Amino acid sequence: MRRGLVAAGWDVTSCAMFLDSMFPADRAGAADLALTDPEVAAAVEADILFADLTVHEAMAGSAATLRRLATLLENTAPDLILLEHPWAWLPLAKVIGASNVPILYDSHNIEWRIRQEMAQGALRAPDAGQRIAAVRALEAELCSRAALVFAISDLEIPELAAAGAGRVIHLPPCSDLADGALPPDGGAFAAKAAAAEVAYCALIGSAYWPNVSGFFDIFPTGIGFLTLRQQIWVAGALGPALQADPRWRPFAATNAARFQAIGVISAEDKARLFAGARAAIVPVTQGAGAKLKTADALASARPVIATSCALEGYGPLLGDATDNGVWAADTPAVFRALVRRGVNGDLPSPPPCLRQALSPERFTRTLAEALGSYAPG
Amino acid sequence: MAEVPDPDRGPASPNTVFLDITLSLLHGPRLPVGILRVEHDIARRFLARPDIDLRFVTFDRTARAYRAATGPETLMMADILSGAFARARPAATMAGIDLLEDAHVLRAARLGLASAAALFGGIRRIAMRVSRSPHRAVAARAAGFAARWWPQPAPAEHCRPMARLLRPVLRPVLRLGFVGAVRLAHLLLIALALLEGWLARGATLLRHRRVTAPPADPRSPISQDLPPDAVLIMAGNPWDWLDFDHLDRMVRQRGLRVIAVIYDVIAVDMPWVTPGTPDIYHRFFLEMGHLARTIVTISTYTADRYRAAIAEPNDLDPEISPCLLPAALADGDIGAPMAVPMLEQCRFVMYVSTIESRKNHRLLIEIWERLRQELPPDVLPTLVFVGQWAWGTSHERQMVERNWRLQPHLKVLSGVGDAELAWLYRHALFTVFPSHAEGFGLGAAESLALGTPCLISDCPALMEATDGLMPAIDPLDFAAWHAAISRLLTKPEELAALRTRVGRFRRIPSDAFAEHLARVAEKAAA
Repeated sequence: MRRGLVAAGWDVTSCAMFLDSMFPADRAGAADLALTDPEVAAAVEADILFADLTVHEAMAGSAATLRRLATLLENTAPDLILLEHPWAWLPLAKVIGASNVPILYDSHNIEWRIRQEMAQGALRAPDAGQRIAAVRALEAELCSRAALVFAISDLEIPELAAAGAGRVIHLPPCSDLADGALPPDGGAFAAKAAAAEVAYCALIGSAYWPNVSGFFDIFPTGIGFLTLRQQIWVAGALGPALQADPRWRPFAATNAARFQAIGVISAEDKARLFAGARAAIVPVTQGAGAKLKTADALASARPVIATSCALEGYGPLLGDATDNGVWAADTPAVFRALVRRGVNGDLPSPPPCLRQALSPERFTRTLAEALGSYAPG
Repeated sequence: MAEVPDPDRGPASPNTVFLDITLSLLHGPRLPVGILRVEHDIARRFLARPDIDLRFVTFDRTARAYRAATGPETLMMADILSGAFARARPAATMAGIDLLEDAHVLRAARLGLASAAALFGGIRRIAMRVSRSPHRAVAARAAGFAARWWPQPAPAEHCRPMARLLRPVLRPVLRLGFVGAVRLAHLLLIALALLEGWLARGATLLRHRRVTAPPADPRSPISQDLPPDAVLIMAGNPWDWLDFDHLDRMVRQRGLRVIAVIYDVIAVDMPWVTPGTPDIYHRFFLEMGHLARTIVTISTYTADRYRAAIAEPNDLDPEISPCLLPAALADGDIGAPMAVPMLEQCRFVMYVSTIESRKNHRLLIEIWERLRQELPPDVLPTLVFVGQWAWGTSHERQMVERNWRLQPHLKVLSGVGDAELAWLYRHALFTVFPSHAEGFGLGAAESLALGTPCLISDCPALMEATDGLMPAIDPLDFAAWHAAISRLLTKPEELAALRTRVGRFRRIPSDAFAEHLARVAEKAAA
């Protein structure tokens, strides 16, 4: 978003608000606001599901934080304020008063809904109703106040509107992979695959637990459905996280023979990994909004096998690519069958227009058009 | 002696079958159990078939590839198949019993009561045991004996001057001479034992002329030992050592046709009962689903479980061909049953199985303790466990070792040979098989084949192995097992009725499994 704003001609000052114990101090920006409060840290640890809400509630109650935020606003005198999540509205609302500065909200997902799902699902927090209601109220308040809301997913536009948003624009993520030409081959990855006589599907993800859960939801009995010459190569922190998970253990030997954890790789290597792959897979079963890893997969120009959940938010962009380069599969059996076809080279790649739709250029253009009316002068 | 391998032997003929004997070679001269019996049975029967040219291969863990068995390995296999090891060391079959028997023979000999044959047998067994002791250990014990028991010298002042002079020299010389004599005698004993072993092996090889050494060709590159389109039978559950990558290449690049014998998938169904980490078993079963031309299971139940636990979750559809294992003990091949002296005058109930948690020995020990309290000692038979102690049985061991009241009624026999086992089956009141899970349950089938009823658990493989003829009880139902065993012990008419039912058991012909495999191999080669 920051790069898109800059490309659209805006001068951007970023301000992150966080609990100092949760982020390394050396990565903090000059305008960032960090809260140091052991009690809040303990509260966050006790209820990770509402960590953001807890931290920002504390920040809204911290006179020092509010003072610094007010100073920042006074010094920068912004033409508009864009919130990347609803939490910052809690302290901001206290200092902005009746200012006429337009507030924009970039919604990455419906926060209260995803927390409700998590509370009822993996995190098992059945008594979270009050906190969920607080999140919902916060989102509604921000939507009502915001002059413009960006929805990362087309599916969430109606709900944001119902929450009070006056103007909502669909702004799906873009991928750097869609910027410029892809590498002609997989480079070292392709060479490695050829040496081992294997073909592989690529998966890129972080160690974020829904990514891990998604893999095991889709491959609950391991990846033995692949032959030894068909593999899944995983880049990012997801690979080691999968191997460390207890669900991996019963099939560890089977999986290890068909799996490679590449580790965290550069953007260039990401492109090469996809270029050497027969297909890209996105086995995600939880989460809302639109997933960035799906954008990378869709922009890879390889056949994409993903869950419906992973493809959420990209509906209008997929167009003709559905079942023609991009396949949705929500059951292990269907997903397995598609992966086998993909790794055998039996699936076609999506049409080139899909990459264009995911390009940073398209993102910037959409952003520039949306923000045009807020430009000074 | 075994036939000398012909290095100029041509390429494998169409009916050439390769058998992976890695497990047999790893197991060596120890008495075969379970899977090894099957591997040996396949080897023996295939070697005897004129339509099959059997060749032995082994997986070389250093080279990570299959290779032809070398000459010494083939000779060792020939020894194993001919039973030479078992013959050369009968004492090893039932060490505990033999020791008791030998002690009895020695006492009887002192009293002048032992027959010449018994005396000779006892001395022979003792000599065999001594011949198997490490030579250095024997020498060390002789030296220790000499140091401890050599007569103490008289005080120096009582000796003559010449004796005083010679004593420091003579004593070490005499002690060394004694130790040397013992060492010489021991070496002689070893030589005699070896000679007897060679003679026994020679006689066996003469009898089984087809037990020949498959060609060992160390000149060939390792992966060349299996020619294109070869048929390879793997019956040894090679999950520990096989390099599946190599096997995959052999299948894809050289057209290797693998026939895998799978005994059960219990390691996947009940991963907590296996000694290793469950994933290695899963991988073996799964890779076989990918790589094997045919999977031969030892029961329909195992075939069903393989499909459900391995094939279906991985979208595999391998050819699965079930064939029940035969009860080879009921065959004449093993010779006459050999009595177990310790149990000759006993009424006993037997459980033949490796002793591990899955086999549920604990249930029987607890029932016997209960029965001990309920029945007069002369009514309570001895519970006999025949099998090796294995993993996960510390509690059972404690129960056996610490319950001194039950000890007269509980025996554990390890290392029982076929002939003794056949005798035990025939003389047991009945047998029991309360296992939690089985792939077949050979012990139950053998019991019925030898005419003795068997109370089994209700696991499907056991019911299949016993033709559905025997009472099947939930292995977790103490009360039901206790009641069933009590009835058989106290109501002879019920036991007699059960014995009558055994008569309806359709014994699997002893060559059925090998015959089945031969047909599968023929089909694979076609």
